[in-house]
Amino acid sequence: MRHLPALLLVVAIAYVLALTLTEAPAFGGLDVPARNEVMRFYLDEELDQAGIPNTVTAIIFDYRAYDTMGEATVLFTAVGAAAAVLAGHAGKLVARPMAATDDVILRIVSRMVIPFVQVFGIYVVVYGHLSPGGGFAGGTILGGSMALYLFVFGPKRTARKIPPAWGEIMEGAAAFWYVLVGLGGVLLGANFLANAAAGVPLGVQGQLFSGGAIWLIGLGVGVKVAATIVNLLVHLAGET
Amino acid sequence: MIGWFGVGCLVFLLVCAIVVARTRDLLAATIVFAAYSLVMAMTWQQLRAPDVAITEAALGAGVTTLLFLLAIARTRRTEDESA
Repeated sequence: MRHLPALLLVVAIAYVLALTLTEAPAFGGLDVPARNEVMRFYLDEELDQAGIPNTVTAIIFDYRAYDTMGEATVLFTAVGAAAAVLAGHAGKLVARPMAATDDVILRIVSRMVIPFVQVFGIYVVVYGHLSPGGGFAGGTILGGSMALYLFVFGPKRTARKIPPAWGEIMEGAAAFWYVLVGLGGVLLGANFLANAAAGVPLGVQGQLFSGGAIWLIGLGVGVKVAATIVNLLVHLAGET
Repeated sequence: MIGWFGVGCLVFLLVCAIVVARTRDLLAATIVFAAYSLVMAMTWQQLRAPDVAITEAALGAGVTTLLFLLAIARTRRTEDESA
């Protein structure tokens, strides 16, 4: 019975939380807090201001491009932390560095699947302003395809296909590219990362090369995310 | 609104989440977590958030699973009872 006070406390807290649920607006209803003037502004004005059909991508890479730059740079921290921790514990890990698999099915199927996954990843990155997706999603798919290669063929062959230095250079170059695109806005006489406001031509709506700087930023983020995933997994997989 | 398909997805998510938390075999937990992510991606699609759905499928079901698998490959497969 010594758990009784704790049980009573949990029930009381659950009761209060359930009470707040009854006050919540209906799911998908017209009075949800997200349905306010900000949402209406984006849906009404985005097509004129950023000129791309995918409003989500417009918010991420145009209206909130500065926040996205911070998000992209956070990935450096992830790779850096993984590398630092793993370097300090290299001898203490239970298992040896990962080896390639002998499974014939895995080898042949992944060899056939990886090119299609990569094409889809490039498509999601490049068409991020027209269809769902964008730099983050497409970069993850690209990085995932290379991670599959690492899993099936082992770190040694992966290092021959993608030298570790390349991954690091790509990651740094993509982050630098983002800042360069941002400085382009300054050079044109507007704010950092300004797009249409700086006079960048938006192109014809719905075409591949449209949306101005959004397309360039999405490309950089795609490369950056893919390189980050590869670097992270290569560090984790062990010595090459 | 959420139809019967969405309700089924949500129940599946709940069961997956409980299984992931309860199981001692980390490899099994990782695979159930991948299934969780896939159904979560379907749920995002049902909620008309295709951008989130693609990211969930690629990151949650793909890269996170690989990350966990690599961590298991280089450490232990089961949770330490004494720890």
